[in-house]
Amino acid sequence: MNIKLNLVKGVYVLSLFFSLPIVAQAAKEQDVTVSIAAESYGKMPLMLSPLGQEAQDLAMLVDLAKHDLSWSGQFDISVEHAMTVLTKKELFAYASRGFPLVLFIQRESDGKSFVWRLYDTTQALMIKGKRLIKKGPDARMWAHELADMLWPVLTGQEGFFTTKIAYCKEVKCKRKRPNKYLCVADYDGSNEVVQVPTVVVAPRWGKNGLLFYSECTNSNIRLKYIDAQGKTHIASNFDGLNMLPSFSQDGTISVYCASRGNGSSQLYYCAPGVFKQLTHNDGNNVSPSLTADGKKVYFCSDYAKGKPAIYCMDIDSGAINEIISSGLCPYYSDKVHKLVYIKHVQGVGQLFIYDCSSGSTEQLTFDTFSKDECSWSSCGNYIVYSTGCLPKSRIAMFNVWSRQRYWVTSDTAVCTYPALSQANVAGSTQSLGILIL
Amino acid sequence: MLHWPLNEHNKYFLLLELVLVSAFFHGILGFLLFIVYPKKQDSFCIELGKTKSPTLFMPLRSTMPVARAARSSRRGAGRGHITGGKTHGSKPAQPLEERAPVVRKAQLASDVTLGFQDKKSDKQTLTSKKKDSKIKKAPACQKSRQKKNAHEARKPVKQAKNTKVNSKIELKKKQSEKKELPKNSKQEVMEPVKSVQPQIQSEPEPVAKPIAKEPETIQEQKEIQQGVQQETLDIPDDMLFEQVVLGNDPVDGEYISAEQARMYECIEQEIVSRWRPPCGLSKDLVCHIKCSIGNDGGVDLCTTEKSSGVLIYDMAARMASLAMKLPRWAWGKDFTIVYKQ
Repeated sequence: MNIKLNLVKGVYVLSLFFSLPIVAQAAKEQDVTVSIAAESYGKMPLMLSPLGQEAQDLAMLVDLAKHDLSWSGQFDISVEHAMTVLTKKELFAYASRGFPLVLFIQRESDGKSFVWRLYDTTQALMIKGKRLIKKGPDARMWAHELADMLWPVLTGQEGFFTTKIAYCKEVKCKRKRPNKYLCVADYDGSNEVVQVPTVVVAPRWGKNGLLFYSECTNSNIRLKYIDAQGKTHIASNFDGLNMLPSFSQDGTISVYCASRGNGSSQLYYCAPGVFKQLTHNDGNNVSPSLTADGKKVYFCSDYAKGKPAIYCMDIDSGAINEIISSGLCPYYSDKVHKLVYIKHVQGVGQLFIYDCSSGSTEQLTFDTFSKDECSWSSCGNYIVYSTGCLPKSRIAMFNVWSRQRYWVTSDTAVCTYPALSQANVAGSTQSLGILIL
Repeated sequence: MLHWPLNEHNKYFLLLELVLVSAFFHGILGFLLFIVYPKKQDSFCIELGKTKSPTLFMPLRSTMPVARAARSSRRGAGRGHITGGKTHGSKPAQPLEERAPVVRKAQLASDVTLGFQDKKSDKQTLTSKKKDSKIKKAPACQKSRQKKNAHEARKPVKQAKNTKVNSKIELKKKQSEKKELPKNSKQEVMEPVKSVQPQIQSEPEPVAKPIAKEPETIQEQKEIQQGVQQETLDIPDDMLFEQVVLGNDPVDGEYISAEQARMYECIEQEIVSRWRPPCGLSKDLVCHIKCSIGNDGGVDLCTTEKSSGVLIYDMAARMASLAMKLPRWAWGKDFTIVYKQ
């Protein structure tokens, strides 16, 4: 009897054993997936923590980096000094205080470089760490470089803090008409430097930090450029106007507009060993913007309808297609494959975007200030433009994602023709030597 | 089973029996787990950017107060409405006059005053309404009904034929009687077929008949009817519509969606105020965070199931999740929260 009972018990235990996973599966709670959309936007708290002994250059770097990172309005930066590398408990304490990210910046003993480490305090893990070598004596450049290094890690976007902005600034002269000087400033308008104290218009950045501009002379408007050492060179000196060059990705191909004494502005194509006229019409063809591969050029022309429209030209075939029936100042971005342009809506120039892949357009601005001369940043997140009714005009930056506007120049100065350089232009000294005719 | 003598044959028989019994119980268990109560994974999508949320919440109890039903019908007009704890798609609204005759209004009024008491009463109203609809359809479907009645009438004929076969065996010798017997049986069977037609004709007046049968209570019933009509005038149209829908739709006891809707509401309230992603990022970013709720309602474990590729976005989502504090029903549960912009 006992054997039988044991047998029965054994079989039932076995059956229970095999049924356990099924029961466990049934007992498992339901997985609920909830999808949440944001009602409002906020700032990401970030703790900047200079590590080790206090030093003047370290303090300057932290202050400037704080300014850079908080400029876009995406971060809420706090600074707190720490003496040693923190333990896990102390890192978790940061998380409980509402700082999920902590950036430790340490000055190296030789004084030639800094080391930064970014920590996730919720898990007490180091996300990334790098060394920043001092380039030059200017602490601003260190901070901009640091911000450029951090920005892709934090936001997944390309850094733009080392970008320079060139523009024309009106300077009043005694008993004379005001002159337009060429100025270069940091991305936020700080550290303004007057590059060329003559009457200049329409600066454009070439590759590797070359800055092109058109200078007014008694006989013509000639195209010049200034290299990284500050020396000026003549690029194009035909009769009439020589303006607005645009470059391909590698900088070997360019398109610019010149009238050559004929009255109407035409587009000209420059490549190593090649110089040809692209447009042959009676209209004015201006504001060329070349694609990265140098095979297409977007430009503004009034040759067909008598009013400005935006066209796309295939350089190899010479075919011209109208893409926007009414628009001005097209500027193409390789990064986002989009075209920004100005269109007048009820008499007010507004920023528009044309998506080259889908063909859709979108209005970006709706305020009452008229915009002019827009261009993309190299990262594709910002558009710089001049706004306001003349004689008052100031330069503003527009964030494409947050739709926020940042003033670059003050409201007292009259600034026009803004152009953004590529990031890290300061270190470039190489001259390509093209477009010199 | 245990009183069997212990020998080799019975031992194997016992083993076989045990295996069969355990297999039987396993089968029942499997049936219950996988067919009757299968595991359901549900996902919700909260669009907070919109002014109106499409979420509807259903009561967990079987008896639904009518006033709430009316409210829900107003809210759910054009989207979906609640029927006994189960959502149904919206149906095109018919004119009230077509849907609700006077008699039904009276029933509805009684429903309004009393509320829903039992499912049985619902079923009764259902059946009565079905009858009403059948009565309405009767003139149109008279031919088909006659056919059905004829078919029903043939059944006894067949039965009679069977009896006839039996009778054949018994009464082989009496051939003359054999011929008469089926005739008589046919006459007996066909009689109800003739009487079907007058019944159908008399069907369209089911309400008048009981009143006519009891002449003493006519005045009382008239008074009741008048009172009922006065009450029906006070009923809002939405309520009538809701009642009609309730009457027509099947009622069952699945309240899973209601429970999930409550969970959804609770989680939404918890997270919405905390979820504030940094501005200036792509609108297409999506981050999946899996949260395990501890026994104190806080988040014990927070893992990034699917990263957005942007550190500050993931961190903001994680911080919002970690700050979450859920009520008791959520303790020990896992939630996957999809953070969007």
